[in-house]
Amino acid sequence: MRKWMAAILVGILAVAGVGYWGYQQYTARQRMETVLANNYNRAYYNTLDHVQNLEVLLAKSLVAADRQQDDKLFTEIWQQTTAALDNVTQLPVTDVVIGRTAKFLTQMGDFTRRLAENAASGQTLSSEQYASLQELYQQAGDLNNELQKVETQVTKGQINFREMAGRTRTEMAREGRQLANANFQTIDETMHRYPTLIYDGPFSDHLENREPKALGDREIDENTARARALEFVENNPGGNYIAQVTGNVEGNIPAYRVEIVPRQNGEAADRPVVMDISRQGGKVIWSIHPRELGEEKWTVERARSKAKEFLKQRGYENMVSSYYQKHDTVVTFNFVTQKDNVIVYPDMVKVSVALDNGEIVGTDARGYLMGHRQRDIPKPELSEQEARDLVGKGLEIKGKGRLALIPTETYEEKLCWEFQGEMQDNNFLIYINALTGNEERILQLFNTDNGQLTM
Amino acid sequence: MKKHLEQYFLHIILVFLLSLGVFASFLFGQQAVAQNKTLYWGSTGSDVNKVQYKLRQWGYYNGPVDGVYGAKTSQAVRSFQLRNGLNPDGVVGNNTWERLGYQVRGTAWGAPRQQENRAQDANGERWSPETNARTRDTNRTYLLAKVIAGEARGEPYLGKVAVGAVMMNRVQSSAFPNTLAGVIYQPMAFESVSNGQYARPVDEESLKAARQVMNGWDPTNGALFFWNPSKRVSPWIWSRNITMRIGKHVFGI
Repeated sequence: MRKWMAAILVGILAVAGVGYWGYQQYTARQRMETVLANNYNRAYYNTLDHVQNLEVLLAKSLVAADRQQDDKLFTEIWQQTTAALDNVTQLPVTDVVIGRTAKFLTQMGDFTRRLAENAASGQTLSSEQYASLQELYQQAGDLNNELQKVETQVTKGQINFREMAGRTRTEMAREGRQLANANFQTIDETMHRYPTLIYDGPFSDHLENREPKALGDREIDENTARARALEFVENNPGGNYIAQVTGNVEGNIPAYRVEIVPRQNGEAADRPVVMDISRQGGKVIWSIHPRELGEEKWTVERARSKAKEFLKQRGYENMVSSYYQKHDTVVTFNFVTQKDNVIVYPDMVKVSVALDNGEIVGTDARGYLMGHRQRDIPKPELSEQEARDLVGKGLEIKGKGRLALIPTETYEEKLCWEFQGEMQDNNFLIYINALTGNEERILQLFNTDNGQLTM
Repeated sequence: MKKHLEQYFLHIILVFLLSLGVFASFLFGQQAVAQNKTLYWGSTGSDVNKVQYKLRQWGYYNGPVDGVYGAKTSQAVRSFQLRNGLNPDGVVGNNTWERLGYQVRGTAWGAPRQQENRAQDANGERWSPETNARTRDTNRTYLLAKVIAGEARGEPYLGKVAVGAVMMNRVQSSAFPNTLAGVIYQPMAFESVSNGQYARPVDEESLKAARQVMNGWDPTNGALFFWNPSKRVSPWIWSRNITMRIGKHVFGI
C-alpha cells in the first residue's frame, strides 16, 4: 500500500516539475518575444519619424533662398535618409516588399549629399535640380501618408511585427497580400510612381547600367571562346588542356563560362580553371583556379615579375603594380596602366599568384574592361612644387609626388598629384587636383603583415 | 514487493537514459560522419542514396534514388568527376565524397582550434587606392565567410564566391542596406542567418571565398539574388533576370 503511495507521490512530483519547467519556458519565451516586438516597433516608429522629418525638410528646401541655409538643409536631409533606411531595412518584411522604398531613400540621400556639397562650394540649384527636389517632396509625402495608414493598424494591434517575423521568406512572398505585410506592399507600390532620378552620385540610375568600354565589337561564338580561354590559361610544360563551355552568363557583360581541365595521360590531373569570356570581343573577364596550395617557395618579388610578364604576354602593356595583399600562400597584385608618366587607377587588372609554384591562380580584369579607352589626359596646370605647397601643414611629405588619374564615385576621372606623407606614424595619400588645386581625396594607408602599398 | 518496484523504476530510468543516448547520438552523429565508404558498381545502401541524391540535385543523374549503384549511377559519377577535375573512374572515393560536399576527414564544424587561428588572423585593415567601394577589413571578411558557409555548404568553390559576391553587390545596390552587416542581418534576407546556422565555425574554403569576394571577384556579373530551385521558392523570384547557375543555386538581378 505504502509503495503505491510512493509511486503516486513520485508521479505528482514529476508532473509538478515538468509543469514548473514548462511555465518557466513559457515566460522566458514571452519575454523574448516582447523584446523582439519592441525592437521592431522601435524600427517602425523611427522610420515614421524620419520620413516625417524628410517631408518637412524637403518643403523647407523648396522655399529656402539662402545658400548657407541650403547647405544645412541638404545635410540634414541626407542624415535623415540614412537613419530612415537603417530603420526601414530592419522591419521583418522581405526585401521584395521594401526594395523600392529603400532605393528611394538611398537615392534621395545620395542626391541631397551632392547638393549639399554644391551649396558648400557656392553653387546655386539648377532648374532640373529644383524640379527633382519637387518630385522628391511629392514622393516623400506619399510615403509618409502610407506609413501613417500602417501606424493606425500598428497602434490598434492589427499588425503584429512579431507574427510577421515568424513567417518564412517563402510564405511572405507567396501569400503576400493576405498577410499583414500587404500594407507594406502598398507602400512599395506607391514608390512605383517614383521617377528615375539621374544626378551626379554613386547610386544614380545611369550608373547602375554602366556599359563596358574596352571589349571591342566583334561577337564571338563558343568555339572562339574556348580558343581564347586556351590562349589565356598558363601553359605548363607537358600540360594538355581541354576547354569546355559550361554555361552562359548574363548581366552587364554577357559571357561564356569556360572550364579548362588540365589533363595528363588522358586523365583529369587537377581541378578545372574557370573563366568568363565576354561574348562581345572575347575578352577574359576573370579566371579562378581553385586548388590546394603547397608549401610557400616563391618570394613576393618573384611573383610580381611573373604576374607582370603574364599580363604583358596577354596584351596588357605598360602595367605597373600599385599594391598587393598576401593571404596564406596566395598573393594578389593590383596592376594599373601607366600612360605618359600618369598612373591610371581606373584601368585595373588584378592577378593572384600561388607562392608554391608561381602559378597564376586568379585574374580579374573587370575594372580595366569597364573603364579602359584612349584617353586625352590633360596637361597639368600645377607643377609638382605648386601642388606640394597646397598639402596640409600637419603632413610630412615623403619622396616625390607623381601624377595620377583617379576615379570619382561616379566613375569620372580627375588628374591629380599624388603625395605620400606621414603624420604621427600614420601614413596618408593626398590627391591634389592638378588642374584646379582642390584637395580631391585623402586616403589613409595601413601597412600590415598581409599587404602594403608598394610604390 | 518493494524490490520489485525498485527494479521496475530502475528499468524505466535505464530505458529513458538509453533512448536519450540514442537520440543524442542521432543528433550529433549526422555531423560526425567521419568516414564514408568507397562506393563502386554493385554497392548498395544509404551511402549510395546520398550520392544519387546529390547527383540528381545537380543534374548529373536522372534515375531513381534507390540506393543501388548501377550503370546509370556509375555514368553520372563519371561525368561529375570529369567536370570537377577528378579521375573519372566511376568510383566514389575520398576526393569524390569531398567534391560532393560531404566531409571526409573528421568534423569540419566544431573544430575550435581552427577558429582560434582565424581570430588571430582578424586584425589589421586593408586598403586600396583605386576604389573605396569595397574597403578591406578582415572582421568583415570573417562575417562574410560565416554567411557563405551557412548559405553555400556543399557548393563548389565558385558557388561560394558567387554567394559572397551577391552580398557585396547588395551593399552597393540602392535597394538594399548600404553596409555589409545591414545586408546580412536584414530580416528574411538569408535563410542561414534567420535560423542561426551561419553561427557555426567557418571552413577554410568559405574563408578563402570571402577573401576572393573582398578582393573584388564577382562570378555572378552583378547578381542581387540567389535561390535554390529544388527548394520551395516563391514564384515571384523567377521574374528576376537570371544571370547564371552554379551548383544548386540560380543567380539573378
